[in-house]
Amino acid sequence: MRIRLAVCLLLALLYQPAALAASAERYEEQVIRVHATKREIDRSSPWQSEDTVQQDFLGVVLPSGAVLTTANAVTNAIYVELQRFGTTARGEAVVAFVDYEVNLALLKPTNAALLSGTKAVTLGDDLAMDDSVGIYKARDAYHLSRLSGSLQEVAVISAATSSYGLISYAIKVQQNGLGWSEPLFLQGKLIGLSSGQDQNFLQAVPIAVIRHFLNDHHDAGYRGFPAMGVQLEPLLSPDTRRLIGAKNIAGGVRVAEVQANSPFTALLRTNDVVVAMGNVALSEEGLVNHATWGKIHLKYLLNQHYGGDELKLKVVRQGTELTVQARLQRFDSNRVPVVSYRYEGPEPHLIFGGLVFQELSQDYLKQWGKDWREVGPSDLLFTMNFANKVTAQKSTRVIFLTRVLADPFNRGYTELRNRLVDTVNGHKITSLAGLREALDKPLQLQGQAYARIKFAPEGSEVILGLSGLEAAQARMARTYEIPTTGSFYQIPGARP
Amino acid sequence: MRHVRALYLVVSASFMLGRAEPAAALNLNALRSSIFKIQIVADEPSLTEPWKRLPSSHSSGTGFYIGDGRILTNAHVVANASFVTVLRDGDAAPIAARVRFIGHDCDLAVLEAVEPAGIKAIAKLEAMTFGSLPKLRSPVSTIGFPMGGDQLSITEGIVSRISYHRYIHHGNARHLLVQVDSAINPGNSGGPVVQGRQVIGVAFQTYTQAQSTGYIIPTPVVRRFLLDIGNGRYEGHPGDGLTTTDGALLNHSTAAFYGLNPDGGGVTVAHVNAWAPTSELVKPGDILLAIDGQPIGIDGKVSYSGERVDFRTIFDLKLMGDKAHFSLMRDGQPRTVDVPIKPSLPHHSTDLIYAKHPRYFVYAGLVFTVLSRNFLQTWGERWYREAPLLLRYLDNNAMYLQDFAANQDIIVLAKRLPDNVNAYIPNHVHRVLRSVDDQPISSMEALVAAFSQGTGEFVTIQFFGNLDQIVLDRSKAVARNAIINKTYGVEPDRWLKGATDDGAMHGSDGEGSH
Repeated sequence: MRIRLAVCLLLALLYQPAALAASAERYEEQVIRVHATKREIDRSSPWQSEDTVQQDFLGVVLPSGAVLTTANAVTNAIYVELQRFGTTARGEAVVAFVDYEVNLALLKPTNAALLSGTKAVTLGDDLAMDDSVGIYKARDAYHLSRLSGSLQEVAVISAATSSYGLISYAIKVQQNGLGWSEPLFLQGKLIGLSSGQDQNFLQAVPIAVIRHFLNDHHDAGYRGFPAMGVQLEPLLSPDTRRLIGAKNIAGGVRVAEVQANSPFTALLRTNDVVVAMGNVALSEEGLVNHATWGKIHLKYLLNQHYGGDELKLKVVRQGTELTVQARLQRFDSNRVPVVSYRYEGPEPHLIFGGLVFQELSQDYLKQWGKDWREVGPSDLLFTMNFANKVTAQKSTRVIFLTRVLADPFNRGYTELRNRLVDTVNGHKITSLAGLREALDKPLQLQGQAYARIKFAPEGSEVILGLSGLEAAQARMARTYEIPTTGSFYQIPGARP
Repeated sequence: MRHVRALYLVVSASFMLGRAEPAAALNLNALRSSIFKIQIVADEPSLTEPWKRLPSSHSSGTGFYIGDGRILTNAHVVANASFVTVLRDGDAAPIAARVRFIGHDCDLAVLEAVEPAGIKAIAKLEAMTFGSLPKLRSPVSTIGFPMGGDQLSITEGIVSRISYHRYIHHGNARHLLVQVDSAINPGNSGGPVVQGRQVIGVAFQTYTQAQSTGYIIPTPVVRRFLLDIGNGRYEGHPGDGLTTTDGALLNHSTAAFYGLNPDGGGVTVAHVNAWAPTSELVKPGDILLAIDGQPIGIDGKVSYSGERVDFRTIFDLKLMGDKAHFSLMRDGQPRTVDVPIKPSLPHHSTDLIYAKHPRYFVYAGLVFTVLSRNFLQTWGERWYREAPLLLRYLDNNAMYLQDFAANQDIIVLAKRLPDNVNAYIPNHVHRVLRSVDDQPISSMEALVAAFSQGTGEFVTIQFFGNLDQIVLDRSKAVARNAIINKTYGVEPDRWLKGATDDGAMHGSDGEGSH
């Protein structure tokens, strides 16, 4: 019986491709388990946190001794552990560096010995369409399972942890439950890290982005991935081309808007036609040719640059050709009034008389579940979609009333929630700091001080006298178990 | 299954009828000579290709005789009707009828026979008379033809609530309404609800999420409708155009800020729509303290026939030419204003439209139509989450937004009829029009004028919240217009009439619809 079993195993090994059997063994020395304990801020009660959760990801060992994983693994993480395959020993790690814009992070064990016996990965090259890759997920504490997939598409989409337009691999797979930073290997080399799964397609951060990230981090001073701050639109319509003087030129995209913070603000105008970025011609659809992937969105060109790089554009303005050049800035998803993400630190908020004010963020709206873009409060969604332009002032935020902590002090207003703040005491509110300053200047009427808070768009108001504010807030702090420092508004004289 | 359920409801009603007091049975016998079954053929306009009509549908309801050859029923029973007949209970031959007056806002309509003598010639026809607002907990009987049955049915219930509430036939319109704890089923609509021999309301809608919850239009609303049509045309309920913050004055410091006594009453005005008759006299920041001498509570309610209802009830029941007398506080000073009741200026409304066609215009294969609740409902039952965010947001909030507050219409690109002239334009279907040739467009008439009067080589069309404009060669667009319209059967290429042109007014002299 034993002999028969041994023969079967031997036959099974013989039928496996030799290279695969060897590489699977090697990958278990290159791949590390990442155990993250996360605690997200309770967006509706920002002075407290949600319950902690444990999530398991994977990472790969780099020659530097750091572990590369996706930023997904460390969002809202309060404690991270690393574990080698084949051992039960776990060790604490720190997030050495993270760039949420491109969904990548570097971890370092607090005890370097934890990674002894591991091997560093070798970075591979860009995949070609239909390339078959190995996707490695943890089967147990000792083994990786190899799943296979094939590259179906390379597209520019928003990174999983930000709103930055970034190239992403779409790998066709047969299995579910992927997207937890599983490494992708081809011929023994790393070619990507998974970042999410949408039905039968696994999204992955391509090796080109990983190389960019690692090269940048290796240099002194991380420069990051840049953006132009210019909205470019396809230029397919012959009538539009004639209108803006682009009839006789090939390709090119129309400048639809130059954002307030763009380095091209003084250089580009609406209806300019950008025909080339660097030396690469842009098609009228806004696509460029990639040697392996074919047509891809022009943002791919920006993905190859670093913040601070000079970018030269070939432009046609009403039939006249010109060249403009500017220094690119690192992209910042939160450089808009509605905050895109906040994975670290406390959720900014201010409680005045039980009225809870916060900065509007996508994180807040995501509380409405997977259909949040449909079922969230329409005032807030409208603001995010149609009133979220980059302003010259970086700190500009949309401030809104989340809810009211019911108390006799705010009687009459206890049912207010999700209301956009327009003005306070006559001052336009564009930040929590501005809200605090406006509250510092109460209206005076017959010897009494009042706060007058006006909401948009309908103009309804809350008017509260400041008399008794401190006692009421002390009562609320007890009732709702809110720390007395950091959350509540304090009148200027009472501040420490 | 549905059929079985309908039978059950009819049987239950008959059982209740059998148990009724002899006096009640006598009443029904006396009343049934005034009750009519109304059958209609209706054809609604298409919203996405608004020059078309949708396939006809058949339905039925109930009505009752109110004298002078007139039958009262619900507006929704005869909305979009192309053919109407009425059949008195117990008679054999239906009579061809027409809609003489229709008030979609209050869901009431008056029918007449097509032949002048038609209804009056019916033997032993007795006009029903109206009573007053019923008391809470008082019993009522609902008479009609539920579920389309041929046998008259009576169900009995109790008045459970009197409130100012939504009339769903008109979308968002609110009026005085009485809730009863008896079922009102399809086919009951338009039937009288009686106490003894007096009509105290008209059955019109139900709450499907609760059992045995029906709603009736009470006599103050019915009487207002009948008075309104007294001059030969229906002008409709007035729009107050007020956004108030009810309950704010519960807060004593807020009351003190306004110079009011704690718990004294009143509501704060947040916004006044520019199209409303109140706009010249009431201002944001005012505190409304009383209407027509009735104190307005902190909850925004007044005492009305012994019940507490929204203060708007008093305003809403006024006729054109009346005045609403408001006592208010402004800048710490008490004052009174008399708001003249008059029609609102043309404006985007969240009401449903029952016009023959929605307002539209087709240019170069681009179908522009007005944003309406009907258009939003083309996204299905869950339109309020599945329709594009911009459309559903503007439908409710346009009045507050600087870009749209003064608009008569909010214009949507409903469809592109593909043609060489528009082949390369950006896909802006379901986007909201902002301007043509950079000139803001606030009405369908202005859109037609902008297209027809422009002179430049190009027509440019800009949309709200989008930087990618449509550019068309003007001469090519003009040249292709007729060809595109012929290809796609667009006839006529525009409909600029308002909600006063109602499809139900066939056979009438065209007067009297709202």
